[in-house]
Amino acid sequence: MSALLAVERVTKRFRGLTALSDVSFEVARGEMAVVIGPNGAGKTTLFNVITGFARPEEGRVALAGEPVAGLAPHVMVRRGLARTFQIPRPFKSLTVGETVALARPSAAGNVLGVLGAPGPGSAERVLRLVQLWERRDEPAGTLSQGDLKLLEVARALATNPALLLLDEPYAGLGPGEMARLTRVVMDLHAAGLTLVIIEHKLRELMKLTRRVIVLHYGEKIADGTPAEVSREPRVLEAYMGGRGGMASHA
Amino acid sequence: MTLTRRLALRLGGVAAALGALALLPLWVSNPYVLSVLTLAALYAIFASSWDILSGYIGQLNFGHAVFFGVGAYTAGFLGPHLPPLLVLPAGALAAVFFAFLVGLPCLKLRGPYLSLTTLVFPLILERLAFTFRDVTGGEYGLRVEPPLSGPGLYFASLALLAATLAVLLAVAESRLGRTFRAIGDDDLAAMAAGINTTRYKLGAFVLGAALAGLGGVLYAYHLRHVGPEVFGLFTSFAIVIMGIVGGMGTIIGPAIGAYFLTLLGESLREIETYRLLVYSGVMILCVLYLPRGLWSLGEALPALARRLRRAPAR
Amino acid sequence: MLADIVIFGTIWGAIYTILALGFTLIFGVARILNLAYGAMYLVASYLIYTLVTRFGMPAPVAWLLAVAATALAGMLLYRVFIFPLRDTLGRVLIVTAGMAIFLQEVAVLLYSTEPRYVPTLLPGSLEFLGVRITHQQLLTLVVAFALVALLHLFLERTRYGRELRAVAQDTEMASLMGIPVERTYLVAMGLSTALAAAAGALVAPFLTVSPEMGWSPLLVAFTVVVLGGLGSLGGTIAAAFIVAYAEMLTAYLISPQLRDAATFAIMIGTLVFRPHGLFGKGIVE
Repeated sequence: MSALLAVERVTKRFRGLTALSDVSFEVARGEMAVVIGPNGAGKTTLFNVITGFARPEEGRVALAGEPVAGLAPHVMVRRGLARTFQIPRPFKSLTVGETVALARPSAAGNVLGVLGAPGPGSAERVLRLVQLWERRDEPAGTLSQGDLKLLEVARALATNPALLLLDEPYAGLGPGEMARLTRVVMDLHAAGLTLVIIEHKLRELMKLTRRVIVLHYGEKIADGTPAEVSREPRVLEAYMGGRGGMASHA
Repeated sequence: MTLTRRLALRLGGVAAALGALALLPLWVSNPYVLSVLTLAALYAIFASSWDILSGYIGQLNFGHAVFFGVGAYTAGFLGPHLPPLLVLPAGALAAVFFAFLVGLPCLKLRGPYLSLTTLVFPLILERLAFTFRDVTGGEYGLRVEPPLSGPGLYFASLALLAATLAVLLAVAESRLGRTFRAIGDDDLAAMAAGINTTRYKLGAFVLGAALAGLGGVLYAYHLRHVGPEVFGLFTSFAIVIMGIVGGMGTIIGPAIGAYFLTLLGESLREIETYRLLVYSGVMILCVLYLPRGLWSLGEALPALARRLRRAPAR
Repeated sequence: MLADIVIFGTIWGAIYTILALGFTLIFGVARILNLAYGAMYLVASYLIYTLVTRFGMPAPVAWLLAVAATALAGMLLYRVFIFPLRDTLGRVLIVTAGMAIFLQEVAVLLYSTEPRYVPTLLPGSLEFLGVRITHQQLLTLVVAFALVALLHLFLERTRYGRELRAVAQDTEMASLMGIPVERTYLVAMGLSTALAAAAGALVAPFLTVSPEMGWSPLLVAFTVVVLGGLGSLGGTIAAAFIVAYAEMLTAYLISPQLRDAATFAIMIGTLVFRPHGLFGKGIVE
């Protein structure tokens, strides 16, 4: 089975709201998929379910063929799954370098191997990739929003994942920082890392990706290439009519 | 300043302070003063061992009294049956056992839920101590024959305090300590970085418990008695207050808080019953106006000195 | 003995319902764990004691005055101590714990640690199924149910009540809708304290008044809320009675000293095994 990530009929209810409803899709090894959808569509909830921060009421999630329902987040990391948070969550008591050094690398991943042999020095390589190596002795709390997001990515990479989930990495970044991030994403994709990215800012990613999954009110309403998806009537309806239009984000 | 240099400086400072305290009996032979200082040292052990979980990991533990209470009762039960050198590790082991008993259910919880459940455990033990009076002596407790007293006990307490601070400071400056602080900063992010937060919380809990258990044995020797009040709210809260007033998350801060409040309490000896009143009043003022405790005064001094030096040049 | 368990269980169940509702008001609305909640119960009891025995005030007047004064004190406490710290929940915990200890020690200062006795509103007693119940205890039952009904009416029918419920459900949405959130918190605090005070006033005549009396109400209230869930009146009542009967069973069948140990065990057990409470509307997310 070449699917690294398999999400099968996942439903998540939360205080009377159905955040995810019967969502299914697969992501192949080495693929880069982008998940889009209006605010409140359930994208972050999907990530939370996949990474063990939330438990689905129904459905299954499998990583490399192994079911991973209900496992704790740190166990997921050990299995090679890493994620970033939409709003960065830095360790304010630690420096940039200490943050990355603290991450526990998994044996299941391949990123660090591809970026160079894993082991001591991985922290340096990861920080150099996101261009934060020069700032390794600065306290994490003093970084700008953009640098914090890159630190999030660095911390996730330091766990040596096979699959990386990025939650709105572009939000709040200036144009220079966006370019830096795009460079990082392209390097990782070229290195063979499997990526699933939630994003609103489509223009950047639409050029890079061949797979788009669209969520709306917790349901998957489209799944295909950017061209296919942008022709899908339900997608047009979701974005054109009502709130959260595509036009307001791109 | 590199980490090991900072650690060496802190250990040096601690060694100097404790060394000075150790030399005190050369000048002061008043047994009352020695007794107060012994009590202060013991509370310093309790407060700093509390800090490793509550200050570093930020999970406010309101039930630390369980551990030194268990240590004290171990001295009461096993004192007559075991050679003194074995009573200490027995006390630590008993405390560690309870750390697992309390920690496994409670440490999965977060924030206020963790605080309230930890508050409840010493109260349960207090009730049990009252109820099973044949074993525990009920409300009268047990008499304890101390193998050490006076200056001997004073030195033992200082030695244990030195060891406690050394161990905790070494941990704090190590990768383990950084993991603790990461969990304290953001436990969800720590989980996302692959850290098994529950296991680390339990580790900090057990470490603090073991040290408090050792202190509890000496505490029983100091009082020559152990009773259910050791599990009471007074002791749990006194530790929390000392930790907060001294400065949470600094290990040395709570030890300073312990000395400060114990000495303050003694100087108000005539109104002994109002000790907690004063403590709680001090703590409330601290939380409102000096949130990082007395320790932050120490940190502010170099900055203040720098500003004073610069002022005349204007 | 069974009759004792059932009857006193019912009386305590009513009291615990009041306590739990008061606790829910501030915890559910403002997400503040007020560790000084039990201290409010304490303050009210001592106020009644003072007003009745040292000022000779008639009991019903003293009762009303004590509840009102304590409610005001609660709002003041919120404004002065909790409001400036509300961004850091840890510090709120600590400062309310500090207030609780402080108030307890003030009681020691003013009244010593000896238990005090408050005369009953309604002297006399009757016998029912072989159990002696005082009129005071029956009054407690009646008043408790009346208070629950009043609270329910308040929450459903008045503007303040509706605002309270809106803020409890979704603070951001409520504030976007123009509801003054801080004022709502203040109202919640006042009501919460008033209920704790009412419970203290009801209980004072048949327990004794002593400085450590504030902790059990806090822990019981928390246990009931954990067990029964927030925001469900039926759940709270059911949980209050479960806790009350568990305590009575323990007290009569095992040992009266282990009575609150039963409550603590329920608290820990629920948080560990069923964190969403018995009825699934729990507080742990």
